[in-house]
Amino acid sequence: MSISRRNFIKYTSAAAIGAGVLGCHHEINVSSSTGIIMPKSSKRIVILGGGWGGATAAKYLKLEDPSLDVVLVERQDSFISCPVSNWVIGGFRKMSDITVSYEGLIKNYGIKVLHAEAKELDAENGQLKTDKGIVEFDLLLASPGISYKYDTVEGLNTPDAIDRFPAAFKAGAETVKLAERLAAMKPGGSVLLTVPPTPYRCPPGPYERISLIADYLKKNKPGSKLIVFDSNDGIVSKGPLFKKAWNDYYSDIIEYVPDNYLVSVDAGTGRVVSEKGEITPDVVNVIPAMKANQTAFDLGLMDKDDDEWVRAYPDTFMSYKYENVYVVGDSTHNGAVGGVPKSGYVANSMGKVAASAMARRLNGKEPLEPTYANTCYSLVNEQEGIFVSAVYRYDKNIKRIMSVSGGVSPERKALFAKHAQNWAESIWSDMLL
Amino acid sequence: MSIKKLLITMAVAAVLIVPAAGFSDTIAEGERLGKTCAGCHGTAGNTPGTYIGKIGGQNSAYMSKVLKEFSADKRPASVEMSIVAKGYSDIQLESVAAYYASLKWVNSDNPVDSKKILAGKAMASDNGCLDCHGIKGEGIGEFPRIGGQNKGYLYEVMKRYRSGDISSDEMSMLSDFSDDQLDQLANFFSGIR
Repeated sequence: MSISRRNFIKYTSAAAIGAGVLGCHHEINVSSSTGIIMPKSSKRIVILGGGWGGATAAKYLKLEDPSLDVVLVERQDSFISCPVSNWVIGGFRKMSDITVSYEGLIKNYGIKVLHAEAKELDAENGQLKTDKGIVEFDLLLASPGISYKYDTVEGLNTPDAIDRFPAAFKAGAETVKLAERLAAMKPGGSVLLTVPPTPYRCPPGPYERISLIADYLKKNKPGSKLIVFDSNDGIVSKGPLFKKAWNDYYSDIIEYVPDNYLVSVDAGTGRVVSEKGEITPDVVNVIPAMKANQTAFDLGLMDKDDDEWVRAYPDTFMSYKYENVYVVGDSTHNGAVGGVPKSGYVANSMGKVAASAMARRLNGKEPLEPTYANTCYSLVNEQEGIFVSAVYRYDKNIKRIMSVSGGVSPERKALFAKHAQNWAESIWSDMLL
Repeated sequence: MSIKKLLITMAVAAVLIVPAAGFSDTIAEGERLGKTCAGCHGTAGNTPGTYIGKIGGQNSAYMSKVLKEFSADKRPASVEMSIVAKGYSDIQLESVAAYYASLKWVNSDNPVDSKKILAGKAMASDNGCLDCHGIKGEGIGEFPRIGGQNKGYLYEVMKRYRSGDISSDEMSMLSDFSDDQLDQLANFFSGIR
């Protein structure tokens, strides 16, 4: 579709859709116009997905303009943090430590939280159909996160295989499952972790997990091994720092095999076949290749038929596909937005840029020049951390995000692990409190 | 009002208004640039936790000076900030400092130890800390606010002054202090509520 990005004024007179039946009953006929729930009475922005990008955007929209009606549509009851969830797998944090309620957004900012599943998007009429009914909007921001490409590995795309080889790259039940499998394993056992090909969410995430599983095995399961099949030809992020920690602490535990794709898995026998050989470990963590969350496909947000990530303009995060739909977070297309990692911090930055642009648009103002930053901490054991940081800017010529400055910690330190914990508390509060 | 008086009034008003408008522009620019800081320092610089410093309501002159020192590698022990500050020009850093200085300071809620507070208070008055930082540690000019700052952050920063990682004539008196004494000072200043 053609994008008239300067045409803010025209947009502001969005058609008010007649209010139908109200309330939030369990059975609502979503296909009829009487299925509208929470009818809109002022300028409304609907946020789809209460993760790092969506929760941030919801709060910052209200900070920017408290008169806006902000509705957050989210499946889960509470926010569960994917960053730091490796610490649960490492055995030194509980799920409750990484879980934050949405109450802060409701009580402190008057954001309406609707626990529902998105089913269909009618962008032209400003309607999001959910399993709880139809929600109207002036602007929609989607921050749907990722889906696993289970079908890229033979035998993986079945309920039994998904249960036997959990991914644990969406924090929640999968995280608990992997932690429990490790705890139940006998000493002297073997664990396999497979690293997906790029692009995937949280570039250092698999390597932090490798470090923390090795740390857990060293302390709790003497004689055990951790085998790593990496689809990439080397460690994707903070390579020298992870390598040094593995050499210093886990040389008798970790066996790292780069450039080794996973070919097939067998949920019945537990056998795993890779390009370079096959094994039958006691515990297997398959982190599959990723794409934008299936919801982004189901809602028709893809610009081109074979796209796997959602294209958006990185100065505002307006989607290529619809002028009244914005997209932020891990689901965005790197070719369209530029060279930023799919990290929680970047999603937090994107959420703020989009919130500002959307609030200004509804008030007839031009967007401000955007700003973005990233810091990702990783632990190499319970006490010591490393990090990568970067500041980005929007390049007006190439219309993409470019790095201005960046670097990694020169060494691992206990202080960086303390910063990591406090960083999590700060950014959760920035999103949700 | 005579014409002359009116002109003088207008001239005075113009002098007063122009810098005021410039200042609010600086703050707006600082807010635009500084939104990303909240990822580590919390919304409006009200930082929870203990090892990351609060910046909302900190003195502008101090923050401006320190941000530029981070950028110029004069405080290399602040590893994260040495990387991040290089992403901005000095003028941008000044506007970020002006923005965060314009916000409300919220005292730390870090737990503090009453015995350490007493010991820290005695040391602080013996060593003249309050002469520069103010009676309640509220900060004066380039001397930062430290009353109600996060405890772990104060402790770590004092260690850097002690080791010479941050060079400062005023803070060089920390060179003789033990870890325990720095911890007591941190408890005292963080505990000012």
